[in-house]
This record gives sequence, structure tokens and C-alpha cells, in this order.
Amino acid sequence: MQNGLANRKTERLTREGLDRLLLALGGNRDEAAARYERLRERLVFFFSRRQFILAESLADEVVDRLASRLSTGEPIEVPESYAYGIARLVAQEEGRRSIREAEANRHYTRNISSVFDTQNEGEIQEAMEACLGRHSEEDQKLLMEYYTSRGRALIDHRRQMAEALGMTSNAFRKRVFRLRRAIESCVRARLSLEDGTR
Amino acid sequence: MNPSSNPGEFRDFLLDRLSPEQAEAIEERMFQDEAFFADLQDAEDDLIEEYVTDALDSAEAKIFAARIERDPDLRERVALRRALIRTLQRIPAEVARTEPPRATPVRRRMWSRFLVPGFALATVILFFVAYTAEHGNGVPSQATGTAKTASGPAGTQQEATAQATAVLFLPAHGTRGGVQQPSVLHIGSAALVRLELETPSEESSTRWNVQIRDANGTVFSADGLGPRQAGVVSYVVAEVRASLLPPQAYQISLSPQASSSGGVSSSWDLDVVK
Repeated sequence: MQNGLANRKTERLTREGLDRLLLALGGNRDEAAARYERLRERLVFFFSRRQFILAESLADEVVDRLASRLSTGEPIEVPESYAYGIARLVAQEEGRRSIREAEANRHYTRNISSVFDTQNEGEIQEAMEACLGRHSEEDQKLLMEYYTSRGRALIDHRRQMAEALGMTSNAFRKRVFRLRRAIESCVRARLSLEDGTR
Repeated sequence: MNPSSNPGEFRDFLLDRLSPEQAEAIEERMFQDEAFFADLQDAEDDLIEEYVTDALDSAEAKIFAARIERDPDLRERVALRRALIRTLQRIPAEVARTEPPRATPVRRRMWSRFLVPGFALATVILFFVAYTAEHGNGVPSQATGTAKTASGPAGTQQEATAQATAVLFLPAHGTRGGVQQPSVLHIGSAALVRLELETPSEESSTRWNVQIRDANGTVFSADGLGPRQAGVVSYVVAEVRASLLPPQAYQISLSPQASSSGGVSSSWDLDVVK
């Protein structure tokens, strides 16, 4: 799951390193923090796709190294591109050891399982219903039309929905995705809250 | 979609069917280009949907299942999608039979609203109060800027919980050019965003097309307008659900329909903020 900037563990990433990183990411602190999160999201994606189990920890490792380089005063023009270079290096290093060995030798403080792993389907379903219910009937219908259509007519059906709303297919799709992600965020928050109160 | 994004290539990338060189090129690009990465995430969303609905062929499903097994975040997203689809499938059948939301009902609602006697007057009063609160002067001045919002901290606070209102100032008939003044609309907890048109002249018999666009294209469009009144006139151009306007930058454009007898096209930049 996403980890906010405030929740980042700081054993290795010093305050100075973090400040330098945010400075390198530009803008005000909020904008830099948002850009940081987007960078971290890409790093997690990078390691996940390469099937590293500890993708989040490896992403943090890259961020730590990037901050460390910045602390030495090394000029880095585009932090994201530089981070990609570090990520490849970390992936190579990690690939040289077996995942089992890596797990045994590292001291990870973050739980790599998802809160969903301990939740039963009924609880997820219940949270989903509650979160969906917070949206308008129109939004619910939109999602239902979008996600419950099946078969060969699916693409045509979605195109017709977009046309009915006066939108391009792509803009329509983005709208549905935004709506769905908002509902998913709500479910995550709800389940995390319940998990924390147990 | 980003012009350089290739859905087929994304799919192959996500299912590990590209050469290492091709895969690295995509990885490199996703670190350089956020829009490209967003498209890649959308492609992964599609794969999740196909996996959950058993639309992948067996070889693809096997590859994807292996990824899910190793990736807790992906596992979570699959669980969420499955729950969403199941929940949607349980929505009563009578709801499913209704038409998808269309732009035209908004227009119908708008026209029927204008049939209510006194509504236009109430709108003018509302605008007048909001404008006076902010400027201490009831008459809008073209010289001091003709695009603004009348909601948020200095605007119609009493309506903020249910509705946010953007007042679009249209230059007088015959005035050349539109208005390009940045504006901020505070939607707060509003459920409805109302676009009102303010014009110092009577735009007789004019029907309008209104479009709201974000960086990805048009998110809302409608046409039509209510009855005209002489002098300073304010009336609703369109109503949009706030949930359709997530906080970001938009451009609103208002243009007369070809068959109309008058009107000047205008456009406004609008930043919607919480």
C-alpha cells in the first residue's frame, strides 16, 4: 500500500537527505511531496513488475540512495531519471541473491502483506457497498453500466455511453477510472481503520 | 491517451512478453513521463478487469496470477475490483434497466427550472448579494475583469454545503473577444456546481453551447439557456455534479449556436479546488 511521506521510516533517510530530495523535486513542499509520492509509486511499480516480493522496501532503498547522492552535493537534473538508474542497479543487486536469502538477511519493519490478506471477502464486500453508497445514483449507474457489460458488444456499449455524455471515449474512461479509484480509496481507508481498531 | 502510448505494447510489457530492451525502454519512459505512466496504469487496470471477469486466455491468466501471487498491492487491487463488480451486479435490476446518464436531461432540467416564475429573479438577487459582498458594488464592471466565481469564502457561503456557483461574465453583445481570466471555484462539500451566465445586455434569442474540458478532453457539455431579461441578467447555463469535477484545472467555453441571432463566444480558465 501507499505510504505517506510522514510515515516513511527515517533510519537511513536523514532529515537533511529528505529535505534535499524535496528541494530537488522542486516547487513548494506540498508539490514536492506529491512528486515524491508519484516517484515512489513508479518505483514500486518497477520492482513489482519485475516480481520482487519486497517492492516497497526496494523502492525506499532507491529513494534513500537518491537522497544520499543529493546530500553529497552531486548535481542531479532530473531526479526521476536518476532514480530509474539507481532502481536498475538495485534490481541487479537484488537479483544476484535469492529472494529467500534477501528476506533472511534484511531487517524489514514493514509488513509486506496487504491488509486485504487478513480480511475476508464479506468484510471487503461490506466496505465496498458502504463506499459505493456514498456516491450518487448516477455515478453508481455509470459504474454498473461500465463494469457489468459483457461480451463482444462491450466496447460499442462503452463508446455509446461516452457519446451519450458528450465525451470522448478516453475522457469517459478517465472519468470512470477516477470514480472507481475514489471508491477503492474509501474501501482501503475503511478496512485499514477497522483493522487498526481490532 | 498519450500519443506515444501503445496499449498493445503495454499489455505485452505487463505480461512479460517484450524483449528486455523493449521493456527497459518502457520503464525508462515511465520515469520520465507521468502521463505515459498513467496510461500504463490504466492498461494494468484493464488487465485486472479481464482477469477478474475471466476474459484473459489461459496463458495470460497464468502469467498474471503469478504476478498477483507475488505482489500484495496487485492482490489488493484484484480483490477490490472483484468486490466492486460483485457489488454492482447486486444493484437491483430496475436500476440496471435505466438509461445511462446523458447530457440532455440536464438541459431538460434546466429548461423546466426556468419555467418556474421568479426563478430568474432569485438568481439575479443571489448574484447581486454575492457580488456586493465581494465588491461593495452591485454593478459588474467589464473594466475590472469579467470572469469570476461567486462561491467559496467570499461568495454564497450559505449554499456551500449543497452547491457551488461559478458566475461567468459575458461581455456585452458586440464586444470582441472572450475573457481569459483565471478563476477559482471552491466546491468544498458541494454536491452540485451551477454555472451562471452574467451579461450586461440582452442576448435575445441566443442559445448557447457550454463545454467544460480538462487536460484529457471534454468532461461535460450541454446547450440551451433560459429566458432573457433586459439589463444585467444572470441565469443558469448548466448544472454539473461536483463529483464530475474533481479538483483540477478546467476550461469552460461558451459559444452561441449557429442558428442563434447573437452572442459572443467566450472561454474561462477555472481551477476547481476543495
